[in-house]
Amino acid sequence: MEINISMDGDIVVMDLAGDLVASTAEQLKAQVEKLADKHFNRILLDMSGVNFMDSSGLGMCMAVHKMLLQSGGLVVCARPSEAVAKIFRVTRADQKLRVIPDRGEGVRILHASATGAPQ
Amino acid sequence: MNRSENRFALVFEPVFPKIDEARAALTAFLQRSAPADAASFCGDFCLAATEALNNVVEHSGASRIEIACAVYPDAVLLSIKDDGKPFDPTGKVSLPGPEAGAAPEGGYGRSIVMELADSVHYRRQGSLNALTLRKSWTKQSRGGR
Repeated sequence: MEINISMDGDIVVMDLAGDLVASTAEQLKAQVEKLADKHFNRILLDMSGVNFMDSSGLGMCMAVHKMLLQSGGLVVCARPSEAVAKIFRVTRADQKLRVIPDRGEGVRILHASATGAPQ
Repeated sequence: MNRSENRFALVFEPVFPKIDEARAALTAFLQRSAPADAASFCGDFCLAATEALNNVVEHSGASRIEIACAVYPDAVLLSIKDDGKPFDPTGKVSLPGPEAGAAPEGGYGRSIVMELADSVHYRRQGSLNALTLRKSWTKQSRGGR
């Protein structure tokens, strides 16, 4: 899978493209670990380019969520396709991490999380 | 590999990159065989198949996987056989509720299979695990809200 990283203020935006599955999920975790080591712990995952996600990909999103929470950060999964959003729903993972349809709203939530403003 | 109009079969080594290839081949087969409005069906069925295959790689220690898919007017059947140790993925599973504490990172695969397939049957067939997934063309999964 391809991961393109950019910044929006001090928010990290990761544009994911390809399949988020068992054979690729470790890539995402490795990238997030590198960022977390440098104290970038508020991350937006733009999933609009993810064609297919399985439970390994979902598990990796949950691992990232857990990792960032532990350091006082936050991850937001934005713009999943209907098929990917369905996986968050049927597993109820969307009740544990933020999954939203709009990228701008995701960035706003992450900025607000730094200032303590209502999300 | 063997393909005819409504049947598809494939044998492969149980490693994740081969599962990616098998999923791509199964997806292409279903898209050729499915009704025009069945895109969601194909996505759900291929995800259920992927999860079942991931389970083989992760749990059974097999050296070989054989899949066979048949398309019928009312449903699709997928048979998955592997030569690993006995592993029944149909045992009772429950999803963690929102009240649970730490977010789990695994354990979703079996529940996705059970959620997205209409029926899942396991039996030990000699030295093989034999799993069959069935999904109707018309029945909506519970996650389709």
